[in-house]
Amino acid sequence: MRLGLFINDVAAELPGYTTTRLAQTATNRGDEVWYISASDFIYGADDIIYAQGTAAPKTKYRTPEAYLVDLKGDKAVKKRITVDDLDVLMLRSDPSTEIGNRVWAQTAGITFGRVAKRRGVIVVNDPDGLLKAMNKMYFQHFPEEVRPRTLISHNREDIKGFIAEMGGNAVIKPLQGSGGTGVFMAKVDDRSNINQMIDTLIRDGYVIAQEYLPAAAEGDTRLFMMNGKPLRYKGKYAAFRRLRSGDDLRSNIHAGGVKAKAEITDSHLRLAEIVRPKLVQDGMFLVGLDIVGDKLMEINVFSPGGLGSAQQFEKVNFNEAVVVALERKVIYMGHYHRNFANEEMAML
Amino acid sequence: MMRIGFFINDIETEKAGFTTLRLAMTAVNRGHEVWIIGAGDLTYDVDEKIRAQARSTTAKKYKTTTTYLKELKGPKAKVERITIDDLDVLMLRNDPAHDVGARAWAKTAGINFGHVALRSGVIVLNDPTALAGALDKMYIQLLPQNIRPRTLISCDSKEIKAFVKELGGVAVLKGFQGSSAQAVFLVTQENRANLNQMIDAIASFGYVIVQEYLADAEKGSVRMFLVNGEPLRHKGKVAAYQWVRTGEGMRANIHIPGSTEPVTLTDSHYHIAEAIRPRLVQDGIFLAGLEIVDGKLIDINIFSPDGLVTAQAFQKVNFSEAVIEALECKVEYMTYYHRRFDNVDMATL
Repeated sequence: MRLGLFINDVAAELPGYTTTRLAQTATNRGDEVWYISASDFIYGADDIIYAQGTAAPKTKYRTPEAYLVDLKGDKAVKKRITVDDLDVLMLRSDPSTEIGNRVWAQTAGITFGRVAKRRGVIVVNDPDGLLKAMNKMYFQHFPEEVRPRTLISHNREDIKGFIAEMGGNAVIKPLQGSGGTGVFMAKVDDRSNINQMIDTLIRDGYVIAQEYLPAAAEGDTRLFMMNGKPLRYKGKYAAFRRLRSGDDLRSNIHAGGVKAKAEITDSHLRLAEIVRPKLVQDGMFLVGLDIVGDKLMEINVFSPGGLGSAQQFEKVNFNEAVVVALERKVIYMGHYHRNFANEEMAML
Repeated sequence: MMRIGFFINDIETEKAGFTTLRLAMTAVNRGHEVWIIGAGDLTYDVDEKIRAQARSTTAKKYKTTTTYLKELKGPKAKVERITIDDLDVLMLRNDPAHDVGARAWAKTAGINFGHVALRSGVIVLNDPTALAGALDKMYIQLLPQNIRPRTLISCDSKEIKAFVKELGGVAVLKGFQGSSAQAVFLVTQENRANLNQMIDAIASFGYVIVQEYLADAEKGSVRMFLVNGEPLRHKGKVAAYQWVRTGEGMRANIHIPGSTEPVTLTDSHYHIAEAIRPRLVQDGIFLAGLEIVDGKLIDINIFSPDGLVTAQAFQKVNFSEAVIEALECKVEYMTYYHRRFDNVDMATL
């Protein structure tokens, strides 16, 4: 398999990243793996997509650390590759870290990926699906029953009205932008800063106000979905828990806290089942669900991380399952002479 | 009677000459309920409906867009919280290029909320998915190669220089997206010494487009409107005009001094329109504006093509009426199908 991994920037990749583990696993299986940074694409005058690719020398790597040393070092192969000739282009960049002068980098993978998929390159997650998910409105397209109650507005009074309706406790965050940046907790016993919080967010665009779930106090569960189903390998679910550390109420979104083994319950599996049709429709091959209680807090479709953590608790190499799933798609695509709808192939 | 919303950048920056206002006024004069919605006026409500703080007018007929706009902005305007889900049509007519810097969030507001409105069977035009994919200049590259100027897109100055050389040292450099999208340079034999600076000026904000220079661009360009994927034809006339450059500046652009004159379209213009039709139909592009130079499509505007009023003035035909009639037709279709019909397909029916 010829695999392209589109990421933010090769220089910024770390051994702990899921992308690194995927690359190492694929390389060890004999696949050809090329890294492509945000600025590396070329739309050629012949209408073909090329890229300045970077690859680690072909050998077996025992650790992600060793793989990265080779990828970033002098031994790395740097070459102008033809993206249209790749079997798979995996879009693994995190748009939320590309801000300021680099906002252009947020959409580079999607933009070039949409062109590449016309040439029979399997592009995952489907770039048209990712385009819809560039802001948090995407979440509102999943069924109401799996989401916390939500209002999205650019009007301060609307937002205050919602917070009051929620009994004074609510999470407010920007519609655009992601991660834990700009996430505030409005608390019933501390109403003094409400206006400032809202105004800070409104300056940068629309604001999401969300019901606060008390269960969030205990942290959340990340469950990986692959091909629209919970990622299960050798009888284990790819999942782990993030326990909330201290008083940072933002673990609603991104707990930096301690990780632990997850118990996947019927309620988790029911949630996964409810989100499946939409993920299939949008060609979302690999996603991370963040679950609190029986609600979904967030869906990470861009570069869900933590497969390594899941592996640590479950003692199963989930990266292998992901790479095998990609190899299988490539075989399918061979049978169909690279002529098959990408968003469907993404989920097969 | 149909209920139609026009989503725009901001009522404060609307001008009487804008095509959007002409379309809105025409709809009012035909007895429709028309609401104007600014980029910040939308709300995703707790009951899962999309609402908007929208503006409308009270008179039955308006003679000029000047009076119509004055009333929209003035104290007599109706300002109400409306439910977008109950509209028949939502026209996304904002120009993302105008919302830069601190207002960059406004570029995608119509697209994001428009996506949600589709759930309730609102006809959203142009289709928001296509618009989301057209925020950078890749959209034109998805159209057939033989009707476009030769193009390279890259961040790499070596690649860029090699292509400029291949083009004989004369080329157009443009920004690809975001804040650099307005930057345009003409590289000539004379100013090639500055090529590095030109590349840097664009590349520090993202990808650079390098394009074959069309000699006729100096003179201006032909602007042509497509509705439902075909040239907008009304009472035997086609909506088009010639834009003539009168001042300095790189590109046939309304910000560069220029004038307009009538144009007689040739087979070459119709050939371009025909070549791009399948893609426009596939993407649900109801209304598009083409810019053509020397038998090549140099730009396509699917957000808020403007200049319909100019075409109207030259052709003595009310093209706005044809556009509103096309919408009325869609609304009637939608009634037969109980507001359950794929938006992309409906967009060009």
